[in-house]
Amino acid sequence: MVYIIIIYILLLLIYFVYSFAAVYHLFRYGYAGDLTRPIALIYIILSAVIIIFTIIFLLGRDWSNSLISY
Amino acid sequence: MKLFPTQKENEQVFLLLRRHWFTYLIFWFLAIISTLPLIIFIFWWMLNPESIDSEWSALLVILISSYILGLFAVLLYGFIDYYLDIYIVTDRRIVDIKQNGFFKREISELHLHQVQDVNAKVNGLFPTLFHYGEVFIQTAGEAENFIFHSIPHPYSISKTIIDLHEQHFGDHNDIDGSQKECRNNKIDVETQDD
Repeated sequence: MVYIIIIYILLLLIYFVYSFAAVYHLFRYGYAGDLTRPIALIYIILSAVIIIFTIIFLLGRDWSNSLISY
Repeated sequence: MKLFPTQKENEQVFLLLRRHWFTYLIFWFLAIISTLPLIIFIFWWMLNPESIDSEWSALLVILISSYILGLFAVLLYGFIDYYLDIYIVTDRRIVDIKQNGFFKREISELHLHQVQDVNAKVNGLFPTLFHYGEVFIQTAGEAENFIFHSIPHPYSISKTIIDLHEQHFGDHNDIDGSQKECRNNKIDVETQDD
């Protein structure tokens, strides 16, 4: 399971880099009064909800008796 | 206030166009269809939480989380591709801003006096139903032709561009006409002097 969590953390790192590039483009090339900033905020909030939910779920589990620990 | 980055002072924007929303809706539709099995599975799992061994539930949560984040990333990519592609028609020029992915951005512009011909085309079932299509702007000389892809109400857009072009050329004709009139007057004066 540790390997899977490491893979998940790597995925999250790639996701953060990707999101940074995407949100940068939305802020950099958006125009006055358009939808780019609200969409960027919605994207950040929804992503944070999913990531936080996943972390809370993983931290709340009892890993001591795990059969698939490695 | 400037509406787009290269807008000049006193430049009046007549049209700011994006592709029709239906072209982005197709993207959403495909995303929802591909997520439908996952949504059904999550509902089933919420109704039967003990049906899956707790050992595997963590793995499933990680997979579902990764899938949803991937889906968000794809949807945002689609949004950037859709929303940052803009066609702008001002009283002086036509500006075509193309965003291809994150690292390729092209801005082309065409002055109204270079416009030679404007055609509109609606082709296919969905474009006919939702009133969107292509507008082809042919240019004089070596300038590259402009194509507005999947824009709403292409016929009225092409008419607006033609009207602006005629207005632009009308002013030029007036200038030419007044110059000719001046020349004629000069000739008349010279003749009278003789």
